[in-house]
Amino acid sequence: MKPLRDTVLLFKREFIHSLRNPTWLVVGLMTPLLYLALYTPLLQKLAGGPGFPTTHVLNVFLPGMIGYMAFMNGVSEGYPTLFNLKDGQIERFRVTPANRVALLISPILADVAWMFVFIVILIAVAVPFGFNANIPGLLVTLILLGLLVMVTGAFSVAIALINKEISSFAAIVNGISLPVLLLSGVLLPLSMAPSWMRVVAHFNPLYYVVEANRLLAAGDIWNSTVGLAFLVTVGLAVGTFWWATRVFRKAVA
Amino acid sequence: MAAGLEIKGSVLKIDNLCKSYVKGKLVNDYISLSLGYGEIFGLLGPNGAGKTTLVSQIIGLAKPDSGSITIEGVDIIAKPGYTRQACSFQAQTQVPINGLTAMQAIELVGRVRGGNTQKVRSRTLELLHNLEMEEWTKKSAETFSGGMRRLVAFCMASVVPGRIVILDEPTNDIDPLRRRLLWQEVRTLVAMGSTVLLITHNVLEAERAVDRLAIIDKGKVVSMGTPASLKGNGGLNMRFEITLEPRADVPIMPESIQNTTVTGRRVIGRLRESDIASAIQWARSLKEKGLAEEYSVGPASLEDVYLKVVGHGDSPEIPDKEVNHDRIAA
Repeated sequence: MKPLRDTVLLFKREFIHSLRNPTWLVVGLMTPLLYLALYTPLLQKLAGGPGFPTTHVLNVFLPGMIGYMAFMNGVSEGYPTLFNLKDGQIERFRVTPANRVALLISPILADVAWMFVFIVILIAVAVPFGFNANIPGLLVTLILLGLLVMVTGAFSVAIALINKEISSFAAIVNGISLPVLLLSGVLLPLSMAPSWMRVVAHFNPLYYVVEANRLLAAGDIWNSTVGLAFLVTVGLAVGTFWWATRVFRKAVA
Repeated sequence: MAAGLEIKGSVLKIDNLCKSYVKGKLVNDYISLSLGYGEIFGLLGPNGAGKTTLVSQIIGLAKPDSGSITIEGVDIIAKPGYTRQACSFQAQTQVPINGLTAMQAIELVGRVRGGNTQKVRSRTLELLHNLEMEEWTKKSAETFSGGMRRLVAFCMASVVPGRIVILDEPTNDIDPLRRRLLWQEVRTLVAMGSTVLLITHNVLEAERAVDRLAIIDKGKVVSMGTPASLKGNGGLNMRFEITLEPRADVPIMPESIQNTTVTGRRVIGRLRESDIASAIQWARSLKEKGLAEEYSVGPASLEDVYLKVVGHGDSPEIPDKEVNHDRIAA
């Protein structure tokens, strides 16, 4: 009971704290909106071509975009961890009986909650421009993306606690983000890529999520690709959380 | 706690605690002390004496090199989770509470410490009322002064108090009125069943507030007891002070005035009650000769004990063996 109770308490604290700092929320939403506004028009001529079998490019691009947004949300979780470490927030809770797993998971859950809000806003913006929103498929997408944020968030917090320095943490995050983006099929489907890239992409968890998202957006929930994405994400979630919990417990012992 | 206090059993027991951060330099050097149930125990000492290091080990932020710490018989070095529940702590540094109101910050800690929602709410409102902070209840912490943050931090340590409440410099930056209200709340904590460990530089405040205290210097406990027993000092429980005229030499001190220190034109010493009359007579004669401006006699203060025990900084003491205690002829 205590881990659950502490998680709820600390989650509420993180969520309220984000509401009082709307700048980060605005910045977080602006990036995908700018991609929608300024990149999607470039893809219009590809509609109906290889990798874009549907009538509107948004049905291919938007699912990839929200997958990348979830990835970046999670992988940036280490920054507030470092700020909290420096200004004594983590120390403040170290001397309380707050459950250690709750301390780790609650900011990540708050991130998941905000990501859901952003995705709903993005979809609401995209529908009038031609995006075909399949509600059951999108609900499953939200669950998959929630798991992805948990994986990348836990990974990011652990890296931050090991490094303890913003500059080296930023270098790691930036170094990981670009190849993950390019090898996931977010910007363009990897069916258009050479075979070696398609092989390398299979080592990228985001690739599975993006492929699954596109099928889910079309309402194809029971596809084996979706099942594979859940398998990869759940497996990574178990492994990443086990590791992150060990790192976190050592840091706040 | 009542006068003539009896310490029945220890809520906190520290035995031969040693801690170093750099090899060969002990920050806590075989420290042993114990806190009784329901007392207010003071920890005094100059900067760098090792007080914060000692407290860090009690609350589980650091592990000792050797020695033991038990709370109600439980080895808290082996079970750091126990100390986190048993102790509530107000740190010396400002607590980061930006993004929350005073009420939210206090209630969050109360709930995390296992307090019932309704009871935490009512206790929070009670603390804010008693410390005259109602105006700031729903204001965001970004607008708070340093003193207000200290008060919120005190409330966070007191809303669901532990068996031991550790307060590190609780009255820093706080105005005199709220300081008095805070001390009333400290006594309320004791009435609620907590033991209070108070770390402070403010010797005068400690003298009024604590039941017992320990003075720590260079990692060691150099003195421990009730304020009265420490001030007693072998019967020399009165304080004598004389302010010399400018350019007057330090006079030959009577034998009855001991432990003399000189600070500028002020000469301060300790004496027995039975020697007050002769000391006053001596001081009056100096004044009549134009060598002294004024003099006073009163009860010895803890500050005198503290300064004697930990040193005087730039206030040199006249060693007793160098002082000529021959009486001046009246």
